[in-house]
Amino acid sequence: MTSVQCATPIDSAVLLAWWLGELDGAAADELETHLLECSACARRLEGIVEVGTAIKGCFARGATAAVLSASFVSRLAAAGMRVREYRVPCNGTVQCTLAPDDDLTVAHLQAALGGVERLDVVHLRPGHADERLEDVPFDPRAGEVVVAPHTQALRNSGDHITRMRLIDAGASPRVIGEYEFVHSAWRQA
Amino acid sequence: MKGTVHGAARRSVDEGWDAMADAELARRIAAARGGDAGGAETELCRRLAPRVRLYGLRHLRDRHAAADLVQQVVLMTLERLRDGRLREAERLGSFVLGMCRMVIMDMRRTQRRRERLLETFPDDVPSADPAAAPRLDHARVEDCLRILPERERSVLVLTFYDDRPARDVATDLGLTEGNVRVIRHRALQRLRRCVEGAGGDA
Repeated sequence: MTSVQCATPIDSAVLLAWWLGELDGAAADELETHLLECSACARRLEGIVEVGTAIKGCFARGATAAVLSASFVSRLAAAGMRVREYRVPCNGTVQCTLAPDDDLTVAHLQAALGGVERLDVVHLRPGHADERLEDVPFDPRAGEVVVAPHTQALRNSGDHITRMRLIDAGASPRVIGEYEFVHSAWRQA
Repeated sequence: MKGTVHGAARRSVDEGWDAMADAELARRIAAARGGDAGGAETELCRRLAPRVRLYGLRHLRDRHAAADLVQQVVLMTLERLRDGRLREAERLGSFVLGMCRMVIMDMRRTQRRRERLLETFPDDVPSADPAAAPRLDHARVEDCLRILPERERSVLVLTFYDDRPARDVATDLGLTEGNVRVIRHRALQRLRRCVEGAGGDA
């Protein structure tokens, strides 16, 4: 193999699968040998890893909102991330805030999700257009949808009230529940 | 190793090393038997370092440990080539892979010893792990991540936060493993296109 060319380039999906530990046995051996011989494929994988690192950094800085899962949030907390969690019953209200040393805040929107095939979340904020998150991932057995808002934006906002609405976006659309967040900016006790 | 990696990159272009196969470089080093291999050693080091580093990051998940691996494996490779211990130059990749595995096993044994020491003397060893200098435009990644479809963003965050395989992400999100792979692949392509500036949306 030369420095710049690869006669048998490895598909990016396979490179990523190896990086994430999804290949085993002979497939992993073959790919590892190839990567140690091929600068072109190694460079492509480096590019993928670099994007992954940026995604991680973005989330860790609270610079992106995301729908997560309860087990993922537990792992973050176990790894030392300071997570402020609110469990909100269906059609319920919660008083919430964000402390300066919180890394992340998370809302557990509780709902009966059995039979729901497609779920949208609508975020209603005063002074902003409604934001509709379409087709969010969820586990119907979990009985909740876990939403992490944009922590940096929340940190910079003052007292306000926002609402989230869960919508069954299947064949017969219906509102599953609405959740109110009465947010107070952090005040030193 | 003679010269610097930066100097090696320039010579690489000047002397046409790029077109030379790894196996040919290995043969030149072996033929020189520790003498001057005409820059072949520097060129081989330049090529091997990033490849071994990736291997180390994948298996050790630690930048410093990966850097140690590079240093040890590259040096061992040169020593063995100079001593004529690689019989088939075409099999250099397998040869390097074997050394990577051996060094990693040794590093893990050392790490276990170190952990035992840390339990005994917890304050004596610094554990800081400084962030690598970013090469990507992270603000651009933020913008592109924001406009991805929700499902794709969730899959990417859960995948890359701690490098989890599709099986784990699928369990977390109530999706199938195959579905996670498809979403992940599509999302990454879309994100990279956006970050590289090919179109304003993700």
